[in-house]
Amino acid sequence: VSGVEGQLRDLMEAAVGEPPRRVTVAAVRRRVIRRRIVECVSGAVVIAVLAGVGVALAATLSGGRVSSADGPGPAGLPRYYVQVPAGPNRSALIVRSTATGAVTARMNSPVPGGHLIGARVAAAEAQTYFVAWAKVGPGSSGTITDSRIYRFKLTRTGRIGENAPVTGGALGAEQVGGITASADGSLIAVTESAGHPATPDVVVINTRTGRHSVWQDDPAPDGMALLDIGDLVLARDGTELGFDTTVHCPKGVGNNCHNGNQVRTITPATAGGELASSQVAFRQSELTGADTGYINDALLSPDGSAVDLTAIHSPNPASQATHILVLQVAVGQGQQPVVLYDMNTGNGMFYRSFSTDPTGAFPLVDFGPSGATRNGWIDDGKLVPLTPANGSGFFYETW
Amino acid sequence: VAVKGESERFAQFVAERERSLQRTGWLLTGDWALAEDLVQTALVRAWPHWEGIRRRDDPEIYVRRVMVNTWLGWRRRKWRGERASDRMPDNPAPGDMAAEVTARVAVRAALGALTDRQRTVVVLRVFDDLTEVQAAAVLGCSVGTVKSTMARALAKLREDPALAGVMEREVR
Repeated sequence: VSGVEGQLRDLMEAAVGEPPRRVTVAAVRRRVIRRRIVECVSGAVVIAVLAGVGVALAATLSGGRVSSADGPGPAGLPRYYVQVPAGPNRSALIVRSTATGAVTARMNSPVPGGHLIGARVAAAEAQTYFVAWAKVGPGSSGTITDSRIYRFKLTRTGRIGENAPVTGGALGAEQVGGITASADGSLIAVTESAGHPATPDVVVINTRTGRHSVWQDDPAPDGMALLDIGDLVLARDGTELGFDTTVHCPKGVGNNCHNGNQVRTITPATAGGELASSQVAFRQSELTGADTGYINDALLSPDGSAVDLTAIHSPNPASQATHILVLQVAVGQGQQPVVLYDMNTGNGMFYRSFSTDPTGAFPLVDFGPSGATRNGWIDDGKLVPLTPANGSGFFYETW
Repeated sequence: VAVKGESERFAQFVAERERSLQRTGWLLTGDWALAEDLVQTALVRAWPHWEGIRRRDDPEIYVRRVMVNTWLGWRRRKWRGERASDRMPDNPAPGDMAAEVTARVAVRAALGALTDRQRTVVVLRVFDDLTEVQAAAVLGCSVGTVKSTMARALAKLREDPALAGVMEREVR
């Protein structure tokens, strides 16, 4: 190695730094398994629903809306959206204009040395948001020493208005993953885990009184276990909390125990209890005949009537073409899903973010071909691009 | 289909090598999110064939080869120019001193001025410390091509004013 090469190597070492996130074998396996299972799933479901895309969408998403006087896009389209930027620290949020993509505000952690461990932001009405900031102890172990939930509100010009700790939002050493809020912000729900237990607790917090209701994955009589808790959604009026999970029934399938990916609901007004007592709103097997490996994200709509989900599908294994679908399924109706959006990503894909506004009317996505994801919102079966046009600079976004 | 023993070996490989692979990915792409995507894509492609790869090949060389080919494929695609059009505010890490930022900017710019193949050879030879034979295996070319590409890349880097300035400071 020459002197120049040695200097170059030192410079590269100094320049590279450390990756902000780990690539885990679990993430790799999930992508492999999804690919494998969806190749086995009949394309019939997708083909059938593709035929009804336009009609259903018009009714579902854009019916009755008029143009907004505030700018381009339909009435009700949020004027700003919030991103968790990519980077080693996740110690700040940025706010962007929906119309232009311009950064209108940047908010550093109000907790000194705070990070966004869960990289999620919950949206309530009137561009009010909830976010959990966590302080991490010294050393490489990354132990969380203090988590605290804050509420912030945007001004009409997209600046940060109020920004204050939430009553009941001091969660100590708990690691907050998912977070959701009711429309008026009086209730929030988080998944929290200390020391990485297999299944996190779901904690519902009354932000007026600070009261907590805790839902835990205690062993159920029929042995039902929830292997994970994914996306959380509180109904607009706070009467129902939906979450997606994977159920395992070691003692066999029973009345309430069915294996596989599901969206389940609990009643947050109660004092808490066992997650196993939650009710099934939707099972993946209703959609595909397979238990797992199809659904990426699943969000109960804020009125509790439907599940919005993203799925990765390869209708023709021979072509290796991958489709990312955004579907809507009416809860308990036994109806075919409506395809809100279908993107053919070619051979391979990358999936970054899926969320909706508090009304559920404007799905916000970032996914697409590997290395060229598309950032935008779904309107009438089309992806309306946002600026920036792809999501290489952030982990998660919502509005 | 990989069996259980291979599953554990694959998990061990990912745990041990993902950091190094991501760092190589950053030098190729100049972007952490793309680097993560690149590594994940390469591992997804390698995993179903892991047993065969391990038996007949050096798994790390194989994964790096997939990374390089995937990245070169991205570069060839017509929509590679679809990048974020609005600048993200600077978000330096704690301890992200001026010298590190200067080095990062200079290295990214200097590597960006090379051809894709030159950039790949420099990263593999200088940063990943692969031999010429290993680099040739990753790129699927001859050792002679690696040598000549490396020579041309170094000549270009020596002429890079920003890089030269940083190197001088480093030496002092």
